[in-house]
Amino acid sequence: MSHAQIDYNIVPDVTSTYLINDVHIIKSPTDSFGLGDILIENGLIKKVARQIDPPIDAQVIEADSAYAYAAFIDGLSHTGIAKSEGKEDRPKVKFPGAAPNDVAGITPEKLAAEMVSGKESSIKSMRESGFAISHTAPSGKMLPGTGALIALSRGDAEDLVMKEKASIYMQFSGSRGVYPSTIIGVMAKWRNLYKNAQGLSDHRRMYKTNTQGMQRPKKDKSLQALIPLTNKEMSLFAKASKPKEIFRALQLKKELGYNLVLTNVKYVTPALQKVKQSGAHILLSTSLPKEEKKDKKSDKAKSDDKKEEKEKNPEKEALEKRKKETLKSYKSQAMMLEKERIPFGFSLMGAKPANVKKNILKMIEQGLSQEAALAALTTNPAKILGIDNVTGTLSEGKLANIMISTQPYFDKESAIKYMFVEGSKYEMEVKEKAAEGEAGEVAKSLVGAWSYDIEIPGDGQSGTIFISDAGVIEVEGDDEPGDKDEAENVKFNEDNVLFTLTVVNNGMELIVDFDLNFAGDSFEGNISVAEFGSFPISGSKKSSPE
Amino acid sequence: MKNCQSIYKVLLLLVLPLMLTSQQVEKSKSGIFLLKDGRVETVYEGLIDADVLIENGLIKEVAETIDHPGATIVDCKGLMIYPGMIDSGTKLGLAEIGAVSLTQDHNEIGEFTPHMQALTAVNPNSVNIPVTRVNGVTSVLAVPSGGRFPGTAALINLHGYTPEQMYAGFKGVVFNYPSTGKRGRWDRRSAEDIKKDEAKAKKKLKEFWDKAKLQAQLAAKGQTKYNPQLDALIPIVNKEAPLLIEVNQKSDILSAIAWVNENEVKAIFTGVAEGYRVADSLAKYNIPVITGPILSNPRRSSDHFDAAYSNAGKMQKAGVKVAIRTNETENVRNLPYNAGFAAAYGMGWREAFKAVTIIPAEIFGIDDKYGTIERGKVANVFVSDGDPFETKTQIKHLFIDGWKVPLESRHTLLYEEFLQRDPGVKE
Amino acid sequence: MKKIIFIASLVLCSLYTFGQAETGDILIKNGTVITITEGIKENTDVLIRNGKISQIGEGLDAGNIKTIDAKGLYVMPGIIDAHSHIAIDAVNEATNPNTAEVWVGDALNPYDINIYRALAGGVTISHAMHGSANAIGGQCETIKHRWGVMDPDELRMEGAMRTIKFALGENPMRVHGERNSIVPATRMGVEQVFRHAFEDAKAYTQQWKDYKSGKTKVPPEYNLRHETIAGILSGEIMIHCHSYRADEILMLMNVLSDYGVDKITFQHVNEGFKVAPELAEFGAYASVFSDWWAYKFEVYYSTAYNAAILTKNGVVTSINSDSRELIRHLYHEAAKAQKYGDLSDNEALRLITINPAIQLGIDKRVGSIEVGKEGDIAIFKEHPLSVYAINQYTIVDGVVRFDTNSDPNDMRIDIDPEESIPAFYEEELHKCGHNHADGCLQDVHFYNLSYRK
Repeated sequence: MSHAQIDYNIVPDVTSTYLINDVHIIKSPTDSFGLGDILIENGLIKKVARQIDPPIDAQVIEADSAYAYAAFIDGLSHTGIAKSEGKEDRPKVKFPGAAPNDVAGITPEKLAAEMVSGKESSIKSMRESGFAISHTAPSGKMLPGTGALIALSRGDAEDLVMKEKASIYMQFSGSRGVYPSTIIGVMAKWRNLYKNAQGLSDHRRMYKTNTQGMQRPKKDKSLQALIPLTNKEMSLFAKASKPKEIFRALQLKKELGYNLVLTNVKYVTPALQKVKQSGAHILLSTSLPKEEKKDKKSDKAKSDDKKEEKEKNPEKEALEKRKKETLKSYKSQAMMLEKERIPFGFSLMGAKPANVKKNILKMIEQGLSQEAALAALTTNPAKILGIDNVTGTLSEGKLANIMISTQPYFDKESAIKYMFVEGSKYEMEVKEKAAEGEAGEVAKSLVGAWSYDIEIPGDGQSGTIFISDAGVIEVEGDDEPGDKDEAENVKFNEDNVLFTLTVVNNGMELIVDFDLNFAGDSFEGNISVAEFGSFPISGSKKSSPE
Repeated sequence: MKNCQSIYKVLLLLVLPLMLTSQQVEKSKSGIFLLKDGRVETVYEGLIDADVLIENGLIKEVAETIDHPGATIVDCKGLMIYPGMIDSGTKLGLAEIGAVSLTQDHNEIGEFTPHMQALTAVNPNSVNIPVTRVNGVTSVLAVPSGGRFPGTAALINLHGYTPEQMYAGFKGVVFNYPSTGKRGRWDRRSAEDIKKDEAKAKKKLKEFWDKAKLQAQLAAKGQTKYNPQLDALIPIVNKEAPLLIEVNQKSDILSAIAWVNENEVKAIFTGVAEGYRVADSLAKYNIPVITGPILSNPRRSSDHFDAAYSNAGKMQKAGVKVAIRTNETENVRNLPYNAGFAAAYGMGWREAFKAVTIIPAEIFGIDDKYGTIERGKVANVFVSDGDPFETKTQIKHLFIDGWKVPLESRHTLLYEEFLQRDPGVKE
Repeated sequence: MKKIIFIASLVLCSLYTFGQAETGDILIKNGTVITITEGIKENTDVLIRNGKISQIGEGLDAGNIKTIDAKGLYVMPGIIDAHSHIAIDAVNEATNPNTAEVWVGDALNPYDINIYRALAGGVTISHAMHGSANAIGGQCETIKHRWGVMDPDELRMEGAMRTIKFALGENPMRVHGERNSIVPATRMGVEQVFRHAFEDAKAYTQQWKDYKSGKTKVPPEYNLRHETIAGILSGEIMIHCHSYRADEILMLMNVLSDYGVDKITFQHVNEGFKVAPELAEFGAYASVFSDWWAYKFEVYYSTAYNAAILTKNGVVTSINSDSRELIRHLYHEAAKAQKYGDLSDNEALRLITINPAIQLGIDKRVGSIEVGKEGDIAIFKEHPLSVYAINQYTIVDGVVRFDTNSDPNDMRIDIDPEESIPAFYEEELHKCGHNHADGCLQDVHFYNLSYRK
């Protein structure tokens, strides 16, 4: 930062050397160092060790056994760039089929780096959610521009930009009223543009060696901006949230052969194998579909209604069920990618940074491992963005991009206490929250024996769940009468009951999570088996204690 | 050369009038017609061997053997005689060419226009009319469209030189019940927006209805001022005339039933796409239904593919009085096939045939004149070589209002002219 | 609990098959087989192996494979629709009078429920077409209705001939001339759009020839539009042209003659009956509606006898849907050709089987029940030309894709995680775009709004 002017509103930092004392150091998703100290100097991680003596100029931060992680990296968003204001004017052109590139939404030459403003509040909210770097791109239509990597710190735009030309950003959205206006227009236009960028690149190369009898290469800023893509010096980041867009993006990659990063992916399941074969990278969206909140106020009245509805309307029930299954499968995307060994990062495009943790925890509930979640926030995006040599882990010599959390980050109650972005320190307010983890109280209505049915396509499974008034839960399958398994991690929360069951099958230990919602004499919910997904379960009361 | 040319011209002048007359549309004939040796569809009990005598526009007699020396004999040996079919919801006569807006006379500007009279705008010479009737459809309800109360529909026979000649004795005010479905693919209203729109519409409806009730009270005392919008509603408020209520989605149908009960309206529901989901309620409150087109897609992506095919049959089986409409203009001629699909998908032939003959006549309160071939009824009759729902079947004779109508239309005339074009390929 | 795990892992394996579209083995026993090309065979079996018809005969034994008892049922080739717009996310790139480079195959949507509904009506193949907003629209895609596949590629009929949409008359005139004041505003202008496009493509081809032969040094600018039109000139891409009036049909045949293009299917072609001898002489094909007319001025002088007149004049004719509603009962649409012009059963059924196959350049593979052809079959209760016909099974490549015995309400593949009950639509649009419109001006809406003066 270069503040040439006198400004007494700011008290300058005394030092850029920090020692973080007594902190659990998670160097990388697979390397937990344990308790130790971290020394930061000139924006870099100088040293990581069990015990570091503070240098004379160091500001010592007592971390009180908090947890230090490499700060997160956002795979792609519009962070730091002001949203375009108001409604777009409808373009006025004589020939809508031949509109100038900028009217047609084709501006790959537009640099995000030149649009970033340090004053944008999005930078702060990203940072407060644990991110130190964003890959940011302009918004627009088909080819909004060239993406940049920015540090999420305070300061002038120029200071923030780490890499000016990091990517070409593409969307499958047409321009209103001018060519290309539809997905088919966009696909065709892209082929045309790309091949002409290749042609221009060739032409320029030839022209350099021999101008004799040759026309000069055309000046076309859009095509010029695409040349690094044709040379594989850059990747195309294509926004492809749903399977159809993913297939389309893969098709174009296959035809034209550039490096592709699928961005803002929300649901990839049907395209998984093709993605795997294509070598394209994935940035998963951190946003999840909206879930209806349970109306707790009139639970009793509602459950009566519901019961009546159910009896009358099995069709509605079936539709609800399919929706729930779909919702679950959206939440399971990260787990599935991990299982398929497809490394992925996260993209915060259109997502609220403050919801990142909440949503990742939902993904973890569906079986995503914490290691994979952390990799998706740190090492994977670093690799995808080509900056893994400078950041992504807490290794000596890398950027001092550090996030310090009061508890392990993936604990529900953890809070971010400090952020370091290239050595600059930011301290967050941490709100105290009540401790959790108690089993909760068993509602009297739940005590007793409950029959259950698990719906698995093609077959099912049934049995009995026993709930004691002490809150002990046992499960007995009909296929193995007399063999009761006791549940662990039991949590009662009014009509909602959570527990886990460990099942051993052929020497393989599997954990089954139950999430049941009781209403009167029946319940429904889901079981999830880490690697296999989740299945609906429902049941009704068999007996109550006398 | 010159001579030759002039001779040619003279010849042409002589031939031209002949060519014109041969192209001219044959006229309908009135008179006494005796349909001999055919089998008559009784609608209720199947076919019987009988002769039918048509005189003065009416069915004079139906009996095993009739002899009438003055009658033109129509030989119906091996043929079947059916009552003309009634399409209880169309724009026929009110619209000519779909994309040419100035040929569209069914949609007036304004939300509350119940006084718009469909009969006023029926074009007796619409090219669509002959195309329709040659398939055995002899009467249709011409229905205005548009706002909340778009106008007054009229039942017409598909023959006549003036709307009055065509009028078949039923008129009904049309009411588009406030709907909560999506209006199209581009309707991006949220559930909340839709609810708000519905509330707004219902509030306006209530205001209108309250005013109509007041107008009716004043009218009873002979104290009204000129207010054609409200006057049109007076017979409805007084329960003297039925109201045609267009309503389709399940929740809207239930809401409309409540509205009808609350306001004690003589209701006929039209559309009723999701009637099968609430058939018991419709039956319970005795609300007759005009549904269709049967040949249409399900309204929800999660619906069974035959939702529209089977809707009529499901309602009918639950005890609802069901008539079938096409909701068409130029292709009202497909009424028998709409009925045929309903028949195939659960309704059965007889109930489906009733749904295009006697049931609409009952719903419109004209079953003393229409809907079957019985003595004294209007002579709307067609004679065919088979089941009119089957596409192979050809219609051989057609009578509307006792007129023997030629089986000609633009389509048959173009066929005759171009089947073997002469000259063929240009030299 | 152990059982759950076992079953769960099975489910996981079977859910997402990947790669080439699935083919199957199936034996259809004792049906009345309507072969289309080889007469009707009573009480006959049809055996499909690896997705192809391997045997037709009596008392076939195929061992332990899936068998359908078709006693009392009618077995016919899968119905083919030569004109539809289902299963695509975009229909019109309406912004230019010539958008030859766009391709609806880029916008395939295998999750469109209309595919299943078409299957329920016995339709196994449809020609997903670009719309008619521009004189030269985009390229089309012939798809097989393999309902259940997730990958758009598996919907494509591999190896089917490439086709492109042209359009004459009111639609291109309205969209460009009337609403945007650019050529064409008349049928005269429409003709010139074609001539310009062909000339440009010829010049483009020459430029590349010159470059490749060393005559020029710099490679010409790549132009996918010209490349596509060049594909028409070389016979690689067949034109399917939206058309109504007799004069414009003659015009296009003249233009094509000038450029040596000899293959074309006229779509809609409501006034085809007026120039049936000329169509037959040119060798042009016609794909018509059974009875649509009067929805716009250029179809006011139409006749439902069109298919019959064309057929009797020797024009290879099909009946198409151009509608997600009609596509569900093309057998009924064909049946109406019996009323209007008295075609024989086989002539009527050809309109929805082998004739559209010819028009799509796939008649060697589908369109009739013959040994060696692909196992695309529809099995009806009642004769398919009866109004009481109800489809029981639809088979694509030997795989049962519709089975009336296993046909629950909700057949969606693509579920919205935020919507509990799918929305109710007040008007299920019967014809594409809006009621009483043809030829799909879908997607044109926004374009016109933005340019309305």
